[in-house]
Amino acid sequence: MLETAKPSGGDIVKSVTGTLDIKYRFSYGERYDRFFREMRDNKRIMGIACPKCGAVLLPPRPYCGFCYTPVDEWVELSDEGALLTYTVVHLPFIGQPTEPPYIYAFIMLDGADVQFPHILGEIEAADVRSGMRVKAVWAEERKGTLHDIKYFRPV
Amino acid sequence: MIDVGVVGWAQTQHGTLERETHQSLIYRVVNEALSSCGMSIHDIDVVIDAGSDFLDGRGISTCITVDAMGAHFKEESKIAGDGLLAAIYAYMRIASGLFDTALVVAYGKSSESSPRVQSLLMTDPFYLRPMGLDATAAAALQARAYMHHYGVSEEAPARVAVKNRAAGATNINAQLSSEVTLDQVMESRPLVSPIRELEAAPVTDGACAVVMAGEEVAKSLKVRPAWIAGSGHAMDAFSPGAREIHKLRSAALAAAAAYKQAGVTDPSADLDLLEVTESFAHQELMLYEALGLCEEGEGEKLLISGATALGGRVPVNLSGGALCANPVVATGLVRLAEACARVADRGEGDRIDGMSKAMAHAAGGLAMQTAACMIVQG
Repeated sequence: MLETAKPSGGDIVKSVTGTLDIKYRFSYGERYDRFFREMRDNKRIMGIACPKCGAVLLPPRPYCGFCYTPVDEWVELSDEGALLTYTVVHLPFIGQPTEPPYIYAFIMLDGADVQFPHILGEIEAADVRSGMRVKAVWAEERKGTLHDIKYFRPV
Repeated sequence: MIDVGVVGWAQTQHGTLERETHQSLIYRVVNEALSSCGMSIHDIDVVIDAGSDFLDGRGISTCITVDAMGAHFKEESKIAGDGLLAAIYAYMRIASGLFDTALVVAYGKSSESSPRVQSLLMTDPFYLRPMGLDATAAAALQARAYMHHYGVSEEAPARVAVKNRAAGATNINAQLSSEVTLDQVMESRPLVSPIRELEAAPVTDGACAVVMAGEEVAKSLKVRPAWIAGSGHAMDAFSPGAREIHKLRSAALAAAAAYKQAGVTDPSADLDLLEVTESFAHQELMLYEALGLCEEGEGEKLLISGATALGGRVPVNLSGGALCANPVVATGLVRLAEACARVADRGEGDRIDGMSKAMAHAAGGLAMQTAACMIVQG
């Protein structure tokens, strides 16, 4: 809903503030549904393998973007892998998973060919190194979202 | 295919333009671009524009700006991406022979909302958004991967900022028009490591317009055009995690298409200038490599050699680039206007003697998923 608020400024009307507060219900579809169900119920991260180029893709999808082939072969991936790149987020902004500073990372899970996005925990920023081994720490209460993994910790 | 010239161009002064509306910015650049080539809005066959519904806070936002673009009773199409893509569309429409003239407009007022949150809306709601992957964090992951892969020093991106801020100090339209020292950049606030505050583009409002015409019309005008010699556009995988993030494959492909069309075989010898979209300083180094100015991993060496500074072999961003003004959506079209001004012989102060061929580059998406290139010659 568009909310039109009071004019700001003194003598002259310079601008009005407004917010767009629109609620969405984003459909998971069949692939995301199974992906997040496996995470929630079995603490399993599932990829999907392309029969043509062999790439094991994350997140699971109906078609391989690299060679445009239908993909349907589900593959269980390790919840452990190598940290490929990371950043320490100092900036605060809406939509963050936690209070800054925190460490955002791309992880190549064992068995996957594309990287998995998540945050790191149980480690100081100064100790993080590209290439280090990390493992998922699962949430006690899981709801079928990416937050079913709390963070990845060093192995 | 009809030869096409960029015959007119204009951009606003960039900055936080609190007293301006989208319409006022657009109206100004459209009129200035038209008058720069002695044309009127009635001479324009088609209008192609670029805007962002998210940034504007309005759905199909060009419905509202169509008055200011003079698009009533004309063909009009909107690109949800950088204005340089709109320029490529306009170019092809004229090159096809179906239209004689086109007006290209791009505008953005990032200061009206929060560009960081806007960039989060570019991500999917399941996989990247829950962890808060905004444009800055994506660029930081890219910077770390690039620097780690090739052993690029921590100072290298800072040196790009020093070079471009020095260039921007001579650009009357730039938002940031002061020089900075290497120490100032290195000591600036860490935003999203390894990116520091002075290595990131500012939040900018601004607009740009260019006028294009087919050979016959272009040659009938009193001013000389910058002729379009080639263009290209390419797209990489959506998730930065599905790319070779230390490289810019889409930029390399876009440039290769433009080079092939323009007959450019050795970019650093054949091009006299490049204007590129480096929203973050390290991206200019990555672009040196992707656009073929040097070998992979040699970007820092090329920068330190001075080749890409004013007076160097192949100057990059003599305008100061996006680090001095980044009116998102218009940034790439501004690169084209800057390139045209340097190579077209119009008896104006902007041209640099000896420069005849220049390339403009635009980027879009998280960590430069997409790239567009256009080569112009005087």
